[in-house]
Parts: sequence; C-alpha cells; structure tokens
Amino acid sequence: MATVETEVYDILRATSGVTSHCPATRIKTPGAHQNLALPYIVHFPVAERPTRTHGGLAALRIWDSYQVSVFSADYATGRALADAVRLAMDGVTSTGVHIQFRGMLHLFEDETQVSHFVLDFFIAEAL
Amino acid sequence: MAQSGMLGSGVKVGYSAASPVSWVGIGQILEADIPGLEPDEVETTVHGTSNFRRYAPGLIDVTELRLVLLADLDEGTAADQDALFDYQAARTTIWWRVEIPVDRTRSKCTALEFQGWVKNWMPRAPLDDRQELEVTVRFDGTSFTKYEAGATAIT
Repeated sequence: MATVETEVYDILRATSGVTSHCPATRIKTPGAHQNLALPYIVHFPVAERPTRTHGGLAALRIWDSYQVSVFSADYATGRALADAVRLAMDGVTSTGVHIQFRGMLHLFEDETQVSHFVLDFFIAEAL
Repeated sequence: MAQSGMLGSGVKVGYSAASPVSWVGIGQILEADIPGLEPDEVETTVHGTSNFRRYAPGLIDVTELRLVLLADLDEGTAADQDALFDYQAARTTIWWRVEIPVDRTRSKCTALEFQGWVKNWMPRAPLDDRQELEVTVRFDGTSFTKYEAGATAIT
C-alpha cells in the first residue's frame, strides 16, 4: 500500500514542470540531508484527521495539512518551482488521493540566504 | 460490567423488513443519536395550600433515530445506504434495532427495538471534506422495547 508521501512523490517526480527545475533525486521527505543542491523540495504530512466509525477506522485518512517546502537560491526560481508544484498537485483526483491546494507563503532564511516557499495542501487518502 | 465508564464507539444499527426479523446492519456509522422516550407533561396543580406545581406524565414521544454515515452512494458497495432511500420512497414502516455495547470487549450489548419509517435521507458533499449521509427515522409502532444485555443480533 502506498503511503501519502509516496503518492505525493510519484506525482511530483512525474511532472516535467517540476523536474525541469528540480530533479527527482532532490525531492525528499525530512532527513539528515547534507549538501543538497538548490533548488530542492522537502514534503511531509503535518496534521492527520482519522475517520473513525462505530465499526472501527474507515479506509480514509484526511490530512488537513500536508506541507511541501521549496528551497531555492533566489526568489524567482523558487516561485517558479512552487507554482509548478501547485499545478502538479492541486486538483489531483487519483484512486489513492484527492488533493486541494490551501495556500502558500514565502520565508527568507537569513542564516543560509535561502528562499523558502511553504505550500500547504489538503489531502484525502484512500487506504 | 463497565462501572469505570465506556466509550460510545461500537454502536450498531440494523433494520428488518422481514417477518420474523432478520437484521441488516448499517455500516460506516459516524454518529448515532439514539432514540429514547420523552413523555409530555400534563399539569395537575390544584388550588390548595401546597406551594408545588404537579405534573402527570402524558403521551410518550419516541425521539428520532438520527444517523450520520460515511457516505457510499454506490449501491454496488453499500446496498444498505441504497435500501434506506428505497424504504423512504416507498413510505414503508420497518423494524429497527439499535445495539449499544455494555462491556469493553463488546461481547454484550443493550438493544432497543421499535418500528419506524425513514424520514430523512440527505447526502452531504462538501467541497473539501468527506461525503456524509444523514438519515433519520421516525417512530411508527406500538412498542419501544429495551432488552437485557446480550449478544448482538445484527450481522
């Protein structure tokens, strides 16, 4: 069974608009990654809402927040990659997941001089 | 015995249009408002020296059974949700059984049985949340029976 992280990774790596900016090898879940070239993507689930019925857990997980973080050396590159991520994921209605874009914000990491775009998605995952 | 309290999870609801009854369980119950008895109150206060109003119990209302289901409107995979629509359309009064677990292993339950008809069958499809189906059942019988705790009868 695919996890929600796998589903997201498969969507991103299969989208040329994303991989033209950021190869699939730089699309990561959180970890002790070192010396990743910019730009790169880190994605992970933030908040889950299980669907509990009187008969037990339903085969449906709702992730009210799934974060995709885009890191880049400059604003323009990051913005282009963030837009490509949004285009790839928003409105996906596959068998495994339904995805809706919720919002985006930009942070500038002073210490590393890196642009950080935070994209927030709503995902309903079928188990 | 569950004197230390119990979660509500594990409620079962079934219906039967057959005689003798053969319970069909309703799946994917998210919420269940379980019916109970609610008598009218008839005031019987009379003139006198007492400072208290008095009431006699009047006719008894059986409150509605209300279910919120995780919707599956494909009759191929959720025949029960489809059947509830058909019973409503046909205005058919059928038997209902609600089972409430009484122990933590859910080996026993208290059961309520009554007759009623499907009053509401209302799907909800919010733009960005799970689909739900709300069903209510209105009492239409001559008895409302609470059975002693025992094994489930809903398959």
